[in-house]
Order: sequence, then structure tokens, then C-alpha cells
Amino acid sequence: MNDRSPSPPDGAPPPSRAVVPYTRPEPPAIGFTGLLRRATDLGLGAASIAASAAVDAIERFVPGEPVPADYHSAEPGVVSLVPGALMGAGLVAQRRMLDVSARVERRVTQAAGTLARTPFVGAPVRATQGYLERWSDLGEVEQSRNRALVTEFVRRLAPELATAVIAQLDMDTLMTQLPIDSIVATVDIDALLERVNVERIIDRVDVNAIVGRVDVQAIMGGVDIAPMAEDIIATVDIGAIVRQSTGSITGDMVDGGRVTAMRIDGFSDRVVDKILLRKKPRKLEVPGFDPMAFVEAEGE
Amino acid sequence: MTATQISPIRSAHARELQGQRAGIASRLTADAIDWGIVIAIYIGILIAVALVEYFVGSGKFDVSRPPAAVTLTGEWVIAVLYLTAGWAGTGRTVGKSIMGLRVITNAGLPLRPRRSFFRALICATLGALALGWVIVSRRRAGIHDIAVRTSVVYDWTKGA
Repeated sequence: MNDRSPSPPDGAPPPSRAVVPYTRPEPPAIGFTGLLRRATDLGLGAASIAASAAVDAIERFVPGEPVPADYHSAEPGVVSLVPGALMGAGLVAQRRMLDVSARVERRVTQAAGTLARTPFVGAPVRATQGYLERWSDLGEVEQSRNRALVTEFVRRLAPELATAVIAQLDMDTLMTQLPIDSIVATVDIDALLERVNVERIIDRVDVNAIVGRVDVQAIMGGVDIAPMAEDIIATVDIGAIVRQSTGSITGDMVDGGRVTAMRIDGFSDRVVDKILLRKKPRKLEVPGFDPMAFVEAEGE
Repeated sequence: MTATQISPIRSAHARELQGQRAGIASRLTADAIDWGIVIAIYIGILIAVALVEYFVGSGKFDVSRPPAAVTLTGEWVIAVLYLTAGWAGTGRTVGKSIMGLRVITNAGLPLRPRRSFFRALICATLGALALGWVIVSRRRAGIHDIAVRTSVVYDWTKGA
């Protein structure tokens, strides 16, 4: 927890003042003490969750008392501190118990080692140890199988359980309690939209089916076409379009006539040249003629 | 002046011949159009005279039918003026503009009014006879072209 942590949105409960100290990771549980630590960790965790849930339920749903509207913004009550206090006491008790257990286990281990090395008692102790190890291995195998069975059972049970829980929930009430505005305010809509593949969505839309359901006649009946047509006619220079198209047709006709005349020019030249037995081509180029100079002169 | 102001020529054959001297068919067609315009101007003058007489004089609308000599002389004068004006200006008359032709000097320059006038005099006097020499000329030159050192070229640039 630091000073730069974001302030809670409106209506959300204030952050707890509890501090979680850094603890060095525990070595893997070995022997009886490790087993005991695991069991107590689990027990304490479950007890903490149960106590928190119970206190929360008591504070929120005491029969006969309406839930305050500003529940989330209210300071936590004294009752809400009980789970934390119990948890702290439990952790201290666990630590002391584990210390005692570790000491006892070391002594027992040392004693067992000493006994195992003695000439007469050692053999039965080692036999007992081997006997226990075999049972331990068998137990581990059985435990693995049982764990798999339980996992499969939970996997099948979870959806049914979730469905049953959801069926019992009053979704309307839950929705009214959710800070929808605060959640929506934190959503980056632009980033969300960038991830949406619009083309793929459009491909899946059957536009023809949608258009087929549209009653075009009804729409056209509701549209006043006359003013629209007047606006279109007013904005479109129909005269210019007619002039342009007419000019284009006329231009094509004129160009066709010019090209035909050019071909006749060449043909008559060839006929005359053949009659006059000319071999040399005619001098048709005009040196110094620049059409662009004439165009520029006409443009001035 | 940019290339976009030049009307695009879609015919490859026509593009290839641009700037070359024009032959008998193109020039004869252009002169026929000009001749028709000269006749139209002459008839327009007769109608205008009849209208003036109608409104100012007798009150009777009657287009006069002058004798052949008067008609020929009138058309000759109109032709000289019309051709001179066209060649001294852009190097084109209406007929040449329609056929995409331009009258230039043998040096490739525009005609001055005096040369245009002499060329028009010869054209209006000899008519088709002057143009007939184009068929046999190596430079596709008519008698009037030889006399005043002019050429008629294909030119489809703006204004044609």
C-alpha cells in the first residue's frame, strides 16, 4: 500500500488500514511439522474467510434493519475488526505451536536415529520404518487417485452449483448495487473499438435479408418527393450536362470527318504520285511551326 | 500553356499528322464550308436590306434578287473581307476551324494582314482553280500559297 494508490470511486468502501508484512517464503513442508503447518494454514484461511463473510452478512443483513444507502462509504464497524483480530491471534498461536512441534519432531528424529543405530533395538526400528514407508507410498498413490476423482467431481459439480446459485440471486438488486458508472468510466472505449473487427461483423450480416424486410413502398409513400426533386434540379446544372454531352457527340462527329478527310488526302496524294511516277515523298513538314505558340497568342 | 488545354486527339493517325501540310480533301471541305458562309452572309445582307425597306420604306417585305454580276461582286467582296479577317486573326476561318486546319507562312509564323489580304484576293478570284494545284504540288501548295508563300497545316490545338 502506498500513497500513489488510486482513490476509490464514489460509493466504494474506503481502503483498509491493515498492513501485510513481508514474510520470507517458507521452505517446503517436510515431516510432521510441515504437515501441521499446512493444515493450520488451511484452517486459518478458511476460518478467516468464513469469519469475514459472517461479519459482513451480519452488518449488511440484520433482520428488521434496512440496508443504509451509503453503506459502502460508511466507516467499518467494530464488528468488522473481529475477523482480523482473530486471524492475528490465530497466526501467533500457529507460530508457537509449530515451534513446539518442530522441537519435538527433532528430538524424536534424533532419538529414532539413535535407536536405529543400536545393535539390538535398531533392527526392529528399521523394520518399522520400512513398514511405515511402504504404507506411506501406498497412501500417496491412493491420495493421488482420490484427488483426481475429487477434481473431476468438482468440475462436474461446479456448473450445476453455479446455476443453482445464480437462480437464487436477485439480479435486479445486484445490478442496482453495482457502481456501473464507475466501471464504465474506467473502460477505454477507444481501445475496445480498435479491437473490434468491423469487417468480420459486416460479413456476417445478411444485408439482402434486411433489405428484403424493408417496406420500400411505405417509405416512398412517406417521402415528399416534389420538394426534394426541386432541390436537386436547383443544384444540378442540367443545361451544362446537356451541353457537355452534346458537345462531346458533336466533337466526335467532327473528329471523324477530319480523320476521313486526312485519309482521303493521303490517298489522293498516292494516286497522283503514282500517275506522275514520283518516287520521292512529299515535303509535308513546315520547319519552324509551333502550334503552342499560336495557342498562347490566342489565349492573350 | 499546359498540355491540358489542348483538346486530346484520340486518333493515332491524326496525332501523327499534326503540323503537316494538309491535302486537297481537307482544304476543299474547309473552303466549301467557307463558301457556304459567304453565301449565307450575302443572303443575310439581302434580307437585312429587305427588312429595312419594310420598316422604313414601302411597308412591303420583298427580298431583292440582284443581277448575277452584282451577286458575284458582292460575294467576292464578302469573301475577301471574311477570309482576310480569319487568316490575319487566328489563321483560321470557320471552315478551317471545323476541319482543324491553320494557315501559316512557310516559316511557320502567323500571317500578317497584308499577306492575308493578298491571299484572300487570289482565293476569291481563282477559287477552286487555285486550290487544284494542291493535288500535284510536292508541298501540297495551292497557287495562292505559292504566290504569298503560305502553307495550310493540320492543327487540332485549342480553337480548332
